[in-house]
Amino acid sequence: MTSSDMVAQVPLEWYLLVSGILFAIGMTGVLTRRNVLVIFMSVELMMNAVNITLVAFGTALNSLAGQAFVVFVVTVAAAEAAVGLAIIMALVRHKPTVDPAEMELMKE
Amino acid sequence: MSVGGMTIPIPSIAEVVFLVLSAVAIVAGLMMITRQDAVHSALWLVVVLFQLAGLYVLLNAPFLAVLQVLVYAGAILVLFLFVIMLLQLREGPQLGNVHQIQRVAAWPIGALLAVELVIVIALASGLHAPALPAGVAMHVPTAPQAVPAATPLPAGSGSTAFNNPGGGWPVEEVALYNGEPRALGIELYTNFLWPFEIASFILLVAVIGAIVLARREEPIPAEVETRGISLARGAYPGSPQAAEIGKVLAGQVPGVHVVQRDLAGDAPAPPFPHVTGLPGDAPRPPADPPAGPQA
Repeated sequence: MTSSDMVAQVPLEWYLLVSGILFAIGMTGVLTRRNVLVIFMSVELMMNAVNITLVAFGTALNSLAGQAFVVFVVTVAAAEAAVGLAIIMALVRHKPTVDPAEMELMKE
Repeated sequence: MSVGGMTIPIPSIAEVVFLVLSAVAIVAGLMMITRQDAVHSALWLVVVLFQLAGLYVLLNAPFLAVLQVLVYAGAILVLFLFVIMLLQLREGPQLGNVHQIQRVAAWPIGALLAVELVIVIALASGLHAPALPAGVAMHVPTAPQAVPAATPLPAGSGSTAFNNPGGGWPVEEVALYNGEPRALGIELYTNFLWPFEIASFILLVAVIGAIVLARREEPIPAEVETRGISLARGAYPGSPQAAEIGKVLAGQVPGVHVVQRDLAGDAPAPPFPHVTGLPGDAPRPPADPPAGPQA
């Protein structure tokens, strides 16, 4: 089954709609949560929503660039998770809280 | 059946699979951002990521589906869970204890963004009936057959992408190889070679940065400097170490003094016998109060 058949079966807009909804959910999570780890997870959700868009467009346009972009996004997400979680560990060790409002080291 | 204003008489199997995967992903995403326990949030995020892997399969990108499960669900989320467990952060701050305004305003803002994205996509894709002014409508065809070839097949193009440097894959070959990891690999190593190398460098920097940031700086206790031997832990009964410790405590070893010292300074730790006077030890001031069974 070629990509044309698959995309013809599910319209491109459906993927974009799901991607937009997931992106909005991720943004809401970033705005509402006060646990820095959950905020981090919400950012990951937003990146995944964008990945869906990239792959859907790539498949619809018969281009592999979309999939290649997603490979790089996943790579950067892995690096970001490693460094970000290390920063969170260092912060929590310095001051045992996960509330970003209480992380005001730079103000002092 | 009506989705997004578009009426579909009979949903195909792919559409049913898509709808199920998307519905579960959206519900799990909402669960993720509303759970109090960070571990529950992480597990709901795993559910979302698995649904997205299913969508990748539906999009004829099996390599990305495997990548999604291995890297995202397998590595990144396990890293999250490690940090949550390691720092014992399960009981996070309650939702909206302090930031009432943020809590109240965030949901309408998020809903507004979702509605806006949906409307934009619906308008742009022609799902919406009202006609747009000329020049505004951005038609995205649903059928890829209608898309003109982004890269026309160059004359004399061979069977490999190497004959088409910088121009992307010929459409015919993409259609032929799409879905195979081999095509994506060739694409990554030809047209995306520099980004690929930069990505590997980013990973290297991230590894170094994570190690530097997460390493715990252990302060050296001052008591270690005195080369004393702590008898607090004792030894297994009957072992040579236990016999040696017994000799020391009985004062049978010449030149070795047993003192009671509080290693933790002002900490309320009970004092315990401490052996000094070993070779290499600095001479201890006589003011050190000797205690215990000393010769």
